Amino acid sequence: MANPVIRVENLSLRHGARPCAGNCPAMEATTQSAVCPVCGAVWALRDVSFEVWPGEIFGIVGESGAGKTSLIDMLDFRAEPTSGAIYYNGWREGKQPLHDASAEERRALRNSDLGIVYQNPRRALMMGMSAGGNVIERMLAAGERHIGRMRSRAHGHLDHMELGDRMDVETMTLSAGMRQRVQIARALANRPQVLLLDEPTTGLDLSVQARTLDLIRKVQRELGLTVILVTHDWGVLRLLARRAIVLKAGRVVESGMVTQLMEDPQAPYTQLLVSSAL
Amino acid sequence: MTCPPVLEVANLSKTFTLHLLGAREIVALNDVSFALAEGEFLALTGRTGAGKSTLIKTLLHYNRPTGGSVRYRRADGTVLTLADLPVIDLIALLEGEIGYVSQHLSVVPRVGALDLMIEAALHDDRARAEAEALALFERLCLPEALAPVYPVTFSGGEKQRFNLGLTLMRHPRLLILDEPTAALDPATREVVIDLLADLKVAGTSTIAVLHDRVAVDRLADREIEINDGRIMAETPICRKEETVL
Amino acid sequence: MTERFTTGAWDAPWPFAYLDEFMKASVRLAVLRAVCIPGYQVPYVSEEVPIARGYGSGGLQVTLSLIGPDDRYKIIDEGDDETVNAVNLRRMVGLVTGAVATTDPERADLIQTRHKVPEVPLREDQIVILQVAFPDALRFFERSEAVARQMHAERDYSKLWLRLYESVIAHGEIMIGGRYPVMIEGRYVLDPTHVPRWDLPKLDHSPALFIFCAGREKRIYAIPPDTTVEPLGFEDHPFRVEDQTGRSCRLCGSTESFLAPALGPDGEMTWTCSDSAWCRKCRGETLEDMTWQTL
Repeated sequence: MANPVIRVENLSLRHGARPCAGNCPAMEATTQSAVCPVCGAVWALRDVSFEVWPGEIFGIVGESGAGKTSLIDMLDFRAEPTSGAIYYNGWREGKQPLHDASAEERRALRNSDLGIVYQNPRRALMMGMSAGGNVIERMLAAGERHIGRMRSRAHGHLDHMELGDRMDVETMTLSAGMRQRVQIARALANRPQVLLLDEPTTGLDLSVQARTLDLIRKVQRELGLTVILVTHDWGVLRLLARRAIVLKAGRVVESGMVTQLMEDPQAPYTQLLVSSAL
Repeated sequence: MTCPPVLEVANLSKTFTLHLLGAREIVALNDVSFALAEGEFLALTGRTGAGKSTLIKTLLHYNRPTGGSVRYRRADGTVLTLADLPVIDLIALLEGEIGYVSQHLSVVPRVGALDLMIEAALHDDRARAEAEALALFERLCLPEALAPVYPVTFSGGEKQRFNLGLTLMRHPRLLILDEPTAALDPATREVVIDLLADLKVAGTSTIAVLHDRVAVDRLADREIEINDGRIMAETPICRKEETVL
Repeated sequence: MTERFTTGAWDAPWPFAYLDEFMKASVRLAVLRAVCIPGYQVPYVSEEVPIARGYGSGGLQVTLSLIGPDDRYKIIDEGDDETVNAVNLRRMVGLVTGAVATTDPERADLIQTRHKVPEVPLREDQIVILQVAFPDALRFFERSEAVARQMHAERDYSKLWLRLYESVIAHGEIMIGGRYPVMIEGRYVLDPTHVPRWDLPKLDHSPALFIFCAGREKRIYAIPPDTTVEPLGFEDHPFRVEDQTGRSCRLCGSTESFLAPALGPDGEMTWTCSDSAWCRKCRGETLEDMTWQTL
């Protein structure tokens, strides 16, 4: 069997002004809270491990504050792990922690290997630029300098997202659902290996949500993408993902097949989440 | 039969712990053991709430068993203990050789029925998959006009037959069915029963939860009656050969 | 103790070239740093000079820090020696240094300019000082100075290309009039102020030193002599200077200098040389020198 695309090993992230020595040993006593009772440091993630296999859609579930965004931030190089490591098989054959990469290598990885779709499109998109320009910016960052070639590629990506005719429209004028799809097209611009979806359909109305999910699924199948899907929505998870972990207070409380998590949730927290789903 | 069984369920138990209700425990399955021979059709019967669906979900490991084991023998003779498989391999198995048809259809919204069936195929040959899908449509007496329609809008009976078709696109060796004829009128029921009978002749092993006496009599080689999470009775079904044919 | 400077007319109450020696040394140090890292924006202490921020205070500081009593200087604004801003700056530099001003770019040792590079070929013993309003080309897209510096450090310039792309989409070609981003030695992208695209090829491998100074923003950057200056462009939409086909100067008939639009005597649209010294020379006029007494 092939190697996992992404391997996360005992990943921890701590925020705190004066944290205790030895990675807050007092934390071992509790699993309910992310705050160290001794020094007050917040463990946004603690000892999280999982593997993502090629071509799969892997889900990360949890309420807000569970540590989902911290995980994405680390994959996106916007935060450094306190301990533990992420290994990516496209960098140093997955043998060296990803955060050993230099600033320049990180930029290259973010440009070519990783595509991110944020919950809030404003975080990724330049609203004053055209939809096509937002997609093309990624290609420019990767060193492409031919407008004709870039436009035809960008048109292909936007067309996938059913936005081929909005290429030269200012992003500001697009609806929320369209912006989200422009964001996906932008994330796909350089044919990434891994697509990171952070609550991709939260806040969209139901029909737009269904359409976006369908497009994500289609593009994932066609390009054979590996996808990490961060969501709190069990419906979205069930439709897209096969495997998932459940995060609570920065820890993995349960992992397995999505069907298992939904049919037979075992951790109290998962039972609460599943029974709270609409 | 000298041939080793395709599926062997040994002392399977499942206890649910409901943490939201003060960790109350519910014993849903208690020490269930049986074996399914290659090409055999096994009917699970019993009253509603007896634990038939739980048994199916547990043997598929959608519910993680609290005790016992499930062993599946592949076509090449290797025997897999489902609990020991890495999740990723278990998923591949459950979406390939083992086909499960649940009572409820759950599919991606806003994708047409035919496209869903084509996507379900394990191979990439679109033209071939489309031909297979259309053949299944005809076989299941689903009107061809429904092919581009979203399955959410289907009637109960149509959904049920479509769900079966979706699984059959993968040509499973072992078919696990949860009340495949429940919402069907007698005529359509005959269609499904005929299809299942044909699959049986073709060598597919089947476990089916059935309420329908007619279907049990027509299809099953053996009937296991479940009550209260246990096997109450196991009866081989003798029938005259001409009934099958 | 700084020696009092005497112009001959009266004992001036300021040191030579107005700024005290410490201030001049700090500006020169910043200029040296800027020359060492072509295109990099060096922060410096921008002290008050007797003109308002935004009227060329940065250019004036550099001019006053570099000028000696025997240097000849020229100050132009959009190529013209006779605009109010150029005249006032020229008068001030003359009063505080006693140096000789000139309108002839070929005789000048120092040329302070706003929005224009002289048309005549420059020499290696000349220094061009450009007044800058906004020193950072990334300011269009990034409000945070810290983030912009990080972007420079990582050569993260894709958004500048995007600005050119959007211009191509809107107009069919790159129609950016001023602040056209140029790449210095393949490393830093520099904002060449509002000089027309016409002037950018003159920066490439020029024998003269170009110093850019933004007084209000407190930044100095430079293009040293013989440096590669490459205006950004695309493979299929390369950089182009302004198209002047069919136009010539109303006054001198020149077609080889950058032409600025102007209303003719009868209210019609005409074109004149943006560089007034070039125009006068073409018409055979003598370009005069001026001492502080005649300014």
